[in-house]
Amino acid sequence: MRKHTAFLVVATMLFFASVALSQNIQKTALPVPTQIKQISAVDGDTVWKQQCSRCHLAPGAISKAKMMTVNRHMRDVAQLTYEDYQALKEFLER
Amino acid sequence: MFQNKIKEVLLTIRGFNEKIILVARGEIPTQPSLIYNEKVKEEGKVRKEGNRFKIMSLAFVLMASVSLAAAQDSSRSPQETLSASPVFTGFITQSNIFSEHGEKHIFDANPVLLIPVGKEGLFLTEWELGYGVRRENGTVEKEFEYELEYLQFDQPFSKRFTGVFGKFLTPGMWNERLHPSWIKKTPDAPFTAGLLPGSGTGLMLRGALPLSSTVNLTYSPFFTVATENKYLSSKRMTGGRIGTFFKKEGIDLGFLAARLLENERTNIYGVDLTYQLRDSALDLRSEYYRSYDGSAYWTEVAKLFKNGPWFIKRRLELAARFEQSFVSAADHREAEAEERDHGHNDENEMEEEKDDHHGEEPEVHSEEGGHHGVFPEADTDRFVGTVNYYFRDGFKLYLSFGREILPGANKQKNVWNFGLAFRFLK
Repeated sequence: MRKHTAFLVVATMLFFASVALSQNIQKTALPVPTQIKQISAVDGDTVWKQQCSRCHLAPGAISKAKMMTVNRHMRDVAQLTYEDYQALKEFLER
Repeated sequence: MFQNKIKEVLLTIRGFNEKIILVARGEIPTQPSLIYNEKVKEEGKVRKEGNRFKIMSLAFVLMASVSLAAAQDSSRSPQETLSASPVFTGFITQSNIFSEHGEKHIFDANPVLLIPVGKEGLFLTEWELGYGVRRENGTVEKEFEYELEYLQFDQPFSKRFTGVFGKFLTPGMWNERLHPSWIKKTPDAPFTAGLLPGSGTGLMLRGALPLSSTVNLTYSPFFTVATENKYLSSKRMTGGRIGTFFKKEGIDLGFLAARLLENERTNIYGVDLTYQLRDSALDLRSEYYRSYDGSAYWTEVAKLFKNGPWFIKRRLELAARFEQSFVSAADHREAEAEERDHGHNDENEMEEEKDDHHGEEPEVHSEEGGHHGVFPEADTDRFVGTVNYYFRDGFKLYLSFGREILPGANKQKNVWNFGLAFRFLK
């Protein structure tokens, strides 16, 4: 029981320390580069039609920050290649 | 029962809060909280304190690791543009099922939390909460259930491999991609979903490799450990799915193989096929699984209307699924042997052996079982026709008619099912 408690205390301290540390980092948005570097030769619109529409229709508009997170989830669910994922990111997050 | 469940959850939270307060004060208890234990004893339940603290500790360590990784990467890349932010999403389903045996009304909520970690990592979890009221033969039953669907951390290691740690959905077309209520075309889980454990706790490596500009190879080997924890329950199993996706043609062909490494040590094999005719908005899907318990397959066709008046165009969809299940001969022989051992005269024993599907009148299998599905006790044929109406993506109304037939027992059942499915995204 004491081992569990000590473990819990250390883990909790680690958690709050990391949260505090992350809060100190400035998170204001920087200007988006006017020229987006094309990583992939694949067209993002094509990736959307070929991969995403397999399961669902186009979702409603969401913020770019949330879209970045959703894309990570969809990358793993749909098992996108690295190239397809980068193209989709460029297409959806611009 | 519902109130007792709520009490149970609240007592657990209260007991844990008391523990935190004592630790913060420096009064580290040598014994579990007396107040909490007295309440537990009053309820007459037995708790395994050690396992709960292990799970809570594991959850904290996981959260600490996630936060540390996020903090480190934020500090390394201040020049990056906007950072990904956590997303709270999920779906809600309200369904009403009517058959000759009675009716059932179910409310399900599946909250999903996505937390980005570092540059490309992701922590995600989904819970399933369900409340159902069943009216059958003059009796009313109410049931509240909750279950952890998955709790995992995804981290890409390279362009071709992403590591998945924690409790995850086992690979499979239906299980991984089609089971959410706002995505699936027909409301019932197919028979095949009951042949493979829906989730497990362990490690999986996922990835995709472009074989050419139009063909992708996907792979997801996994290994899960045996655990009887209430939330992270898992069987010792290994296996994987390998698939080939022909992007231009819209054809996805996958093969699954898995082996249970406990008890009978049996193998599970599966094949899945998706063919999407994009020009005509026609989806064809099929899956076949085989395991020790038997085999099953389902075939589904769905047509989304692309043209027509505004209230029809891209809103109305017709879907039909036909499936069959075949209980294994080994199960039949076991049932016969059990019947010979127990004899035929004891009526109580006959009632208890609900799994004995030889000589007994088997019931048409239940339509529920969550997204993991239920494999029938007897050979069953089922046809389901569904009309889906999409108000928008992620919000649909559905009406479904299903007919189940047990050829061996000459029994059939008609099932009507209508409801709403809604996906929220915040």
